[in-house]
Amino acid sequence: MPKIFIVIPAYNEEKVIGKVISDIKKEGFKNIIVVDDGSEDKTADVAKKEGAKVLRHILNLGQGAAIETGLQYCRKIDADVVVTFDADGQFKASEIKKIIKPIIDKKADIVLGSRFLGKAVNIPFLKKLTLQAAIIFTDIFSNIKLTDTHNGFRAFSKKALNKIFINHSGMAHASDIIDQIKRHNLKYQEVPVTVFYTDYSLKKGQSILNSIRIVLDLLFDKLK
Amino acid sequence: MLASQVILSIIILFFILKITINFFFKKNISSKFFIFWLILWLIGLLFINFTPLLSFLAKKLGIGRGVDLAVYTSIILIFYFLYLINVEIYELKKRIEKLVRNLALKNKFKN
Repeated sequence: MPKIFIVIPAYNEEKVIGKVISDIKKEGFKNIIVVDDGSEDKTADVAKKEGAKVLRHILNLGQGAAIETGLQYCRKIDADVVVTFDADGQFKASEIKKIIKPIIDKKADIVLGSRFLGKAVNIPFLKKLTLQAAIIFTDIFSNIKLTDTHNGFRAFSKKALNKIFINHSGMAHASDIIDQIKRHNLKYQEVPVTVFYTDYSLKKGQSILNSIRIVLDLLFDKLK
Repeated sequence: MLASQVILSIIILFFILKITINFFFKKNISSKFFIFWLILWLIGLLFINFTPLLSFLAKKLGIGRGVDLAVYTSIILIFYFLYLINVEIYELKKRIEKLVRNLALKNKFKN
């Protein structure tokens, strides 16, 4: 049986993190790692109470940095499959089995969730537009055609885990991962997933303005 | 000598003295940086007091006036420093990230 770990980066998610963890546990996944990215609320306590392992950043570094901390932990304990999952309740825990299947079947090194192959429930128009722009941007800069580039629902095989090191601490990490898939010639597969847009997740999620920052971040990195 | 030349020279001399004192007594700048700053300000001093030299250089470079050359050079230098600062901030962020991550992992393995 492969060692499967679920990594959840979380920042101020005390209201929803408990349910997210218990839903994942109900699906039979026991190894849950919450990376508390310097939350000011009780995210870490709630996660611990629900039985997750908690890694705590003493400062807020950003989602990319939080995921990388989780991945590093998984490298140290020699995990076979690592799933990244959002803390705000946007994803369905029942779809984890679907996302790890190509790795278990040895058909892919990394699996990317796609809300546009699957369902994006209540997605606001502007959000959809920005995501579509990101897809075109990725196609131009990373030369990979994907249907969803900024989806936090992914599964890494051991090979991908040991090749991909996230350099971008902020939200630009999604493009960074795709860049590295191309660079290391990893076998990837997209799997349809469901993403729910609730009032809570919209309030917590990325603003449209932030996407401009992501682009600037990426450009700076390329020019540096 | 014009009054403006005197004033500017005094300002520049102040900076030269400041970096020299900093280097010799407090040592909070590196020797490379010390030499770079010193040369930069000395060039400034030279141009202020020998304006024909600046005009001559400007003409050679196809820029009309000496003062234009001075402004263009300053802008290039400012952008260069901005870039350096940006890189420095980036490096600092990376180091902080590493520190915070190592602390998080260390604490987990202790538990």
